[in-house]
Amino acid sequence: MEQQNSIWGNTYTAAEWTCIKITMIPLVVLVGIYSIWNFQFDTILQENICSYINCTYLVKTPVNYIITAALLLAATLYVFEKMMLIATGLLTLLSLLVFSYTESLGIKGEYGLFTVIFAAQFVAYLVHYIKPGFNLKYNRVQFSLQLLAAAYVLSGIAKFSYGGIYWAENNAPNFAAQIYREYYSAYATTGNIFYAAKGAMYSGWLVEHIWILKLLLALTVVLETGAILLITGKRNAFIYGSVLLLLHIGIYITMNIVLLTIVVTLLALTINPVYRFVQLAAKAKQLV
Amino acid sequence: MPNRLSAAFKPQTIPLIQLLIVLGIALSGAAIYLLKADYLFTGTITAHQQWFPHLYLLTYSAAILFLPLLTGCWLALYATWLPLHNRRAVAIGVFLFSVIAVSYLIKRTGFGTIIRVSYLPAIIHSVALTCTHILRLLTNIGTMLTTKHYVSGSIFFACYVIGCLVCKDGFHPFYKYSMYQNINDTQLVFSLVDKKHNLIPIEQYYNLSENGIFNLHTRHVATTHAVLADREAGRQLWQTMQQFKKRKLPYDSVSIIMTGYFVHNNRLDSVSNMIFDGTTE
Repeated sequence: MEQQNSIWGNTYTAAEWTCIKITMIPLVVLVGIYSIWNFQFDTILQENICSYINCTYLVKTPVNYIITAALLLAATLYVFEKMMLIATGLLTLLSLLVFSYTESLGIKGEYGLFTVIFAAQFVAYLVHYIKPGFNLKYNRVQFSLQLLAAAYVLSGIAKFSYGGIYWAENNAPNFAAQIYREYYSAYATTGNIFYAAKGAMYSGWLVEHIWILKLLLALTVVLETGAILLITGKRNAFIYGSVLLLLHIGIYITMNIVLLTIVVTLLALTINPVYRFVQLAAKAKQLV
Repeated sequence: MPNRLSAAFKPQTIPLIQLLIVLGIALSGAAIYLLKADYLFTGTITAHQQWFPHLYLLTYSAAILFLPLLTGCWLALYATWLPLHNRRAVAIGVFLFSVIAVSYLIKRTGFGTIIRVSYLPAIIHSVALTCTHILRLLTNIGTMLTTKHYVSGSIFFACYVIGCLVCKDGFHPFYKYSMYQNINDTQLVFSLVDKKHNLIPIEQYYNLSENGIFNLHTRHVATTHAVLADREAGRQLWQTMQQFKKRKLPYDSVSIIMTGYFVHNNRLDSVSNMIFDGTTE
């Protein structure tokens, strides 16, 4: 039996890697299949790779069946760690095509993060194939973590380059309106009046205490820019990942927004809750 | 190259370097904030038109590119542990501080002629410097990836940051990740109502959320006050929405209401406009 690995170590066991995959892959498969079968349009906005190839063929029969089968096959191979070069390569290609199509419809979700993560894992397996001495166990996770860190840092840079150091100060009043907008959006989508009431309560309170909002926004930029710490080792990734998770919880409470792609990737690569749960269950079993 | 890179740092000095760089970033931030010297980073196009009547497009574009490029390069160099070995990051760091100092001087001297003249070469120099480093970094990727642990530990970070800064936003898989970077003073929200103005839950009849409708709308028109009453945009939006239809609407006629929320006199206020009103057929 494989020895259990500590958060504080700097290696990843096969069990940890499997749990990372189990956390991430369902979202990729579900969003991919949902997009192919629910968004079947003839005309799309010509953006991304869809400006060069006709992406509408992806959702036409029999291509949609082929893509669904390929996605399921690649995901199965990926989870069971079989033919990983083919699995990660196929997942990269399918993510690129399917999510480009989804985004060219105007549906945003930063699914490109999955594409680049699969591409990075493909590179890790390729390098390992060429040079067997390459530390695959560490780098397949580390490569993915770098891309997650890049996403956060880019978000920080975007805010900083737009509004400079005064971004938080200047945007705080508008943010209060944005918070109400997000809750009203949920109300308009679902028809549940609870959202509108909650939005009015939060934004009303924050407008009266605008300094709290300024502080929170400034903290957000600092945390995002500091996400480079995610790539400085497993322990730092766990600690900083937990802090970023708190940030996402805060965003959910105040704005009713869950950035699913980013949160799932963050959970999988830093905190790895499935693995922690398995570890906990194993310890409980020992005690019994 | 690998031998030269491997000699860059002793492992025990890395935490010290990290600490120094974090301190540098914190000091830059504090200096900009305290001296209120963000002039170079946030000069508007109108301001550039005044300062450089004939070159404002060039200077404005350079200023827009300046910070992300410089920051990206600095991060890339930092992340690949190159910095203190060849002193490039130190040079850029010093340059950043110089920019802050120049910004402060410009502010204090009321945009004096000499400083204005020195501004353009400074930007050109910084962009050229940055591009040189990026090129240098890219040419070394192949060797670094397989040979050096500390470099392969951040190469994807550097490449993705640079890729996202260089590529068009939204060109999958590259984004600016500009989540809420620019928050409009008016926040638009769309709702579907029947002829008695009762809300129709969007998700019951469309494979869309309100955010989806918002995104569809922003592809057609900009979200500003000027378009609050744009009926043509409303008609286009309605037609596009029909592609996402889940089931038929059990109403004879529906309207799309666009409401703008904003903060005015420390109170949340709103203005609503009907941008589409028609039959469901």
